Amino acid sequence: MAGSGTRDIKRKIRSVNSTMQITKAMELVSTAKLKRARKRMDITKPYFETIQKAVLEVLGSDQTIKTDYVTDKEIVKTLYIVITSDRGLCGGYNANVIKAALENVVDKENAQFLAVGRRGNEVLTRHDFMIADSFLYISEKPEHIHASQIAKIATDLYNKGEVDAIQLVYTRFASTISQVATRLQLLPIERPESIEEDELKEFIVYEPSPEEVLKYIIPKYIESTIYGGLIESAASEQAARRIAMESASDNAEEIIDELVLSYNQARQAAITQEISEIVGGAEALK
Amino acid sequence: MGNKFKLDVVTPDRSFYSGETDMAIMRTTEGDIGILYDHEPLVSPLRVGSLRIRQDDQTFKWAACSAGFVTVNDTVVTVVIDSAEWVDEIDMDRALEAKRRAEARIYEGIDKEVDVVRARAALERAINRIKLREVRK
Repeated sequence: MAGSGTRDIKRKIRSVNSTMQITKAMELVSTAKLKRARKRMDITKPYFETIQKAVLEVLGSDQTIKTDYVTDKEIVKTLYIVITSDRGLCGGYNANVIKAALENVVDKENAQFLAVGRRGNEVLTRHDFMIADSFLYISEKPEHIHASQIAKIATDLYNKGEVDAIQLVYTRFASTISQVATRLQLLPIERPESIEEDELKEFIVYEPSPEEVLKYIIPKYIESTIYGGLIESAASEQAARRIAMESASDNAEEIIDELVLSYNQARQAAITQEISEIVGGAEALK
Repeated sequence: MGNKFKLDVVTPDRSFYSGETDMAIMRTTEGDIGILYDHEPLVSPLRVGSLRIRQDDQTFKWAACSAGFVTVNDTVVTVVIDSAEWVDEIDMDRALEAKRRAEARIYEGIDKEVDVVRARAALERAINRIKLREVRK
């Protein structure tokens, strides 16, 4: 009988429906979180940009400055700071970041990782990569203190000569619908192109000395870049999750529509069959 | 009143000050410097201390700030610091608590190098806040 068929379909509809309720709720949650994350991003941007500009200005205006952080040494060992999320269900967000980090790794032996976020940590551990340190459960709400801890560990490794370069892999927040996994070299800093001759004549005073100033500013630069990366990744994570949940809800709706259609068809078929049975029975009695 | 210049003070969690003034005094690692209109280009680190911004009525507005740096160029003076608050925003209880905690940590953690360095910095910030709050009420 068709009755069991309709019951099955009905059960399926109910299950898809409850899934959709969850994805809908998660979509709303990440929309709210995204809004907050974006606000934070707007607040920290000026700070981040100011420091970046200052460092490039100092390095660009004086080509003679010598510091450990700007070297032409060959890069063999690299530390990757990989910023991922703690929780899943955010589409390709984590996979993209990890891919962006790994596509640059030539030799497993010479790559160290500093994992931010549980997802990245799990994947890297599973593939037996060397993990210098990991920071879990901060990626949704990064604070400045986390950035300075990460920066400290990374620069310590660099200063001890255990790594020759530090790369930051994070997700750039291009817009609410587009996030790009980006790799950025933190150390050594690439010397900016020499500024035009006549501009070079402008004399900048460094108090007490250019080297001293850079010694202070460069760690600050690294710290703030990491902080900027953390904040931007947090916003990207929410945006990615929102989109993933949105399409999941859409898919669920589509499935429900299809199921309702076949439910109605099955119901109609059952009714038709019943009628023809009754009619057939009545006809036989004549 | 002299010519005015543009001053921006930014911290990681907010844009602390953005406006025009004719004089600002801040504490660099080499000592206090005052910046007037048309100052020569300068870059210098700042230490924990105070920031004074002269207002239209010739009085100074005081702020407690922690380490950072200042850049001066033709158009704008930019102060980048880890944290800053106006004197009347300082939370005295919190500062006293931070001071007590830092002191305890220094006392306990003599053999742990890193901890002490950080605690000292925290203590310096707390004392700076308390002092400013008491003197510049």
